Formats: sequence, C-alpha cells, structure tokens
Amino acid sequence: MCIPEQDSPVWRRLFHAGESGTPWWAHTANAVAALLLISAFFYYCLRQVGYEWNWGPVWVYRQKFVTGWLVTIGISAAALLTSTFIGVATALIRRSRILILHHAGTIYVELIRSTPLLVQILIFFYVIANAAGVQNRYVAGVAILSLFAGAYISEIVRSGIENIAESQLESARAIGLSEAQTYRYVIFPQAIRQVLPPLTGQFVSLIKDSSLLSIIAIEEFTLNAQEVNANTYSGLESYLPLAAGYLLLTLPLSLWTRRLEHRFRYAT
Amino acid sequence: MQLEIQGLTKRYDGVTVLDEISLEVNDVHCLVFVGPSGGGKTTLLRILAGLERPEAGHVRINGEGLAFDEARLRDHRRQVGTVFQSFNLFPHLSAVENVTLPLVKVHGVAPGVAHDAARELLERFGLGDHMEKKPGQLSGGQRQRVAIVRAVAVKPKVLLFDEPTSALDPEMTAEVLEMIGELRAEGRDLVLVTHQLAFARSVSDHAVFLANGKILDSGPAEDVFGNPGNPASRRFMERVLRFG
Repeated sequence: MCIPEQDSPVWRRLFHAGESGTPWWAHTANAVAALLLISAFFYYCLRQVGYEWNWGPVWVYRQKFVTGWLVTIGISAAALLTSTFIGVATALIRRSRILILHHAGTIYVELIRSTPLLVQILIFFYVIANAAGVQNRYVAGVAILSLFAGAYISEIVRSGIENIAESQLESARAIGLSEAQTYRYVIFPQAIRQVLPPLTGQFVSLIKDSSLLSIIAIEEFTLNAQEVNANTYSGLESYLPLAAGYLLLTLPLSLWTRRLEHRFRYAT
Repeated sequence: MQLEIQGLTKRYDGVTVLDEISLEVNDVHCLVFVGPSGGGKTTLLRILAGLERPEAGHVRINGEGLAFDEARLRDHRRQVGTVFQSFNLFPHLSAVENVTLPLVKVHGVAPGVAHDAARELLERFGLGDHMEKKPGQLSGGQRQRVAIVRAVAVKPKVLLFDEPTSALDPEMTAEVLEMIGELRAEGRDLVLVTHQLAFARSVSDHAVFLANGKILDSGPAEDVFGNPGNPASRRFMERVLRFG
C-alpha cells in the first residue's frame, strides 16, 4: 500500500508487480511457476486417459516433418510478401476518389473478413483457380493465403494511414509536397511505425492459417503430420511435434512484435 | 508587399466565415490580422496560404492573382512560407531534415546545398545544437522556431503565421516572437494572425480587425491599435490590451 517499494518484504516483491518496475528474478520465477502449473495440468490429463507413448514409429517419418515444416515456411514467406503488397494496394485503392475502386476494395475486404478461410480455400481452389487454369496447387495456395491475409493487412495499413494527424497532411500541403510525395515522405514513414506491430501479429496468424491449406492436399506441415499419424496409428506423437514446429516459427515473431510495440513510441 | 483582396467570401457548410471582404494595402512589410476567435482571420490567412478555396472573390499578392485550382494553388504554396499554431514539424525527421525536405523535394535544391543552407539558418536562430534532434526531443518554442526556419529556408515571397504562439507557454512565446521580430527587421514580408496584441502593435505597419467575417477596421497599426475608429474593435482592444 503505502510502503515504499524497497522496504517491502521480499515475498511481496516476488509475487506482486511493483509500481516502479518488477525485478527480473520475480518475473523469471513466476513465469517458470506458471509454466510448471500448466504442464502439470496436461500431465494430469494424460495420466487420466492412460496415454501410452510410442515415439518409435513416428521417428521413422521424421524427414516428413522436416519437409512439411520447410514447405510451410516457404508458403508463409511467399504469402507474407504477396499479402503485404495486396494489403498496401488495397488500402490505397480504398482511399481512392475513383468510386468504383473504392467500393471494389471495400467489398473485397468485407467478403474476405466475413467468411471462414476454409470456405475461401475451397471456393478459390475449385472454382477460381480452375477457371484461371492454375495447375500448381502451391501457387493457388499462396494466392489464397495472400488474398486472405491481404484483406486484414489492408485494414491495418488503412488505420495506420488514417492515424496520421490531419495537421501533418496540412504541413505537407503547405510546403508544397504533391500527393505522391506526401505519401512517400510524410505518411508512409510515420505509418510504418504504427503498422509494424499489428503487421507482425498478422504474420503470426498467416503462418498458423497456412495449416488449413492441407484441405487441398498441399503437402505442408499439417498435412504431413496427418499422414504420419495415419501411417503409424500414433496420436500425440504426431501432433505434439506439429505444435512445437509452429511455435518455433510463431513465438519469435510474437516476441518481436512486443518489442516493436515498445520501441516505436515517440512523442509527436 | 502589396495585397489586394476583392469581395472574398468563404463558407463552411453554409456558415459564412468571410463575408465579401475587400482590402487593399500597398508597401506594407508586416500585416497583422486581429480580432475575436471565429472572426475569420485564420480563414483569410489560409486563403492567402493557398490552403483554402473561397466561394467568391479575388486575391492579388504583389500584383499576381491567385488562381484557385489545385495545380496552381500548389505552385502558390511553394512560393509562400506558412507556419501554423502547432504540430508543424514531421516527427519522424530531425530538425535539419525537416528544413531540407521542402528544399530538396519541392524546390529541387541539391541535398548538400540544402543541408548547408539549413544549418546556416538553424545556427543563426540559435538552433545549431538541436539540428539532429527529432521534434519530440525539442521544446515547444524550439519546435516552432524550426518550423519558422523551414518556412524561411525556401525564400518565400511572403511569410504567413497562423497564431504561431497560441500553443506555447509565455517563455516560449517570447522566444518565438523575438524570432518573428528579427525576420521583420531583416525586411521580410510577413502576414501574421495573432492574439498577442502588444506584439502585433510593435511589429506591424498595417493592422486589420476582423469580426464576424467582416473587416471592421483597417489602417496603420498605430491607428487601429491606438485609436480604434470602430466601436466593436475599440471594445475588443480595450478588453484585450487591459489584460494582455
């Protein structure tokens, strides 16, 4: 309460977040404790169902996990680039004064955001990709994922642009910058700072969402794990490595997002 | 500077902010617009800055008529220097980058030359130690002075100030007013919207009193401030000068 921080007893500092900062050891100890508790819960559940571990058969298929994991990285990376491009383009289109572009952008974003990705994958793959003559299912997969993530990214970019204060645009106008120059020298450099954290978050989602591409037989991480599962009649031995593989990709990104959120704060 | 305004009218959503105002001043170096808030003085300045399009009327600055289409307005904006109340600077650029951006990107000055010019100006106005700082690291007064340097650097035919000290505390107000005074002494042409009547009186050679979208008084600064002919402006001056 009114006790100065440095005078409060050690047990208090161990369990409570201080108002003027918490020592690192308190954080570490509590994080480890929380992790142990959660692990204990899972351990208890496994004991209850009497699960019998058998890693042998799955180990034989280890190469399949690695290949799938690499395919997932490849698909995600490609979709990351394409979706960023689509997202920025859509954000600009939606700001366009040409009404049909504005509305086309809005309809695209709303359609994508209001339907499940799984449904989009099926429709895109069996109707649009077929009609367009896209034979390669990996290309189709990257396209679907990019269209999906692009809609969300365009919203992120749009809010980033709209968050630039009106006075900034006014200043840009007053010094005689053209509209293109205003975007290039004033809006984008400032928007990127606001947009980067949610954008990284969106990339985490994108990696996870790529697992749904297994439905159209793209041999990525999830499909391969399912195959191993089917071939070995194993259960958790196939799915735990799957979860770990995704975590390995998404966790660093998530942590990086946090750091970005802290770093990109400046007074205006 | 020579300024000629005829029948200038500006409306926002049906509200008349400037009501057919006309004004002619010749051979003036510092023109001030004063009057109550919402009287139309900022709008008038923004039209002179090429930031607003009036519904009717003509403006000539130094004999050159203002055309109110976007392309020619942008051209006009490049020839004047405008300083706003606050939040002028781009927060992601350092002080010197803020000054060089319009020089390089709008006026086509070579980056090296622009940098030297910017440094010289910043040093002259006591900002030499703050060149590399971002606006967030500067005080309000320093920020506003950098903004003025940015406007001055492009060698505008006229400098326009829209209440440049309204967002500042008294000490910072003083340093900004001092700088405006220096620019005036250098013989630059200024148009100033301000609530700092004492300063306006000392610096200007022509004053215009605006209220309710009309010019109620206009003349040499000594007359407008010292001996207001119009009852409304007399009341305003007496009230503000007494407490200001």
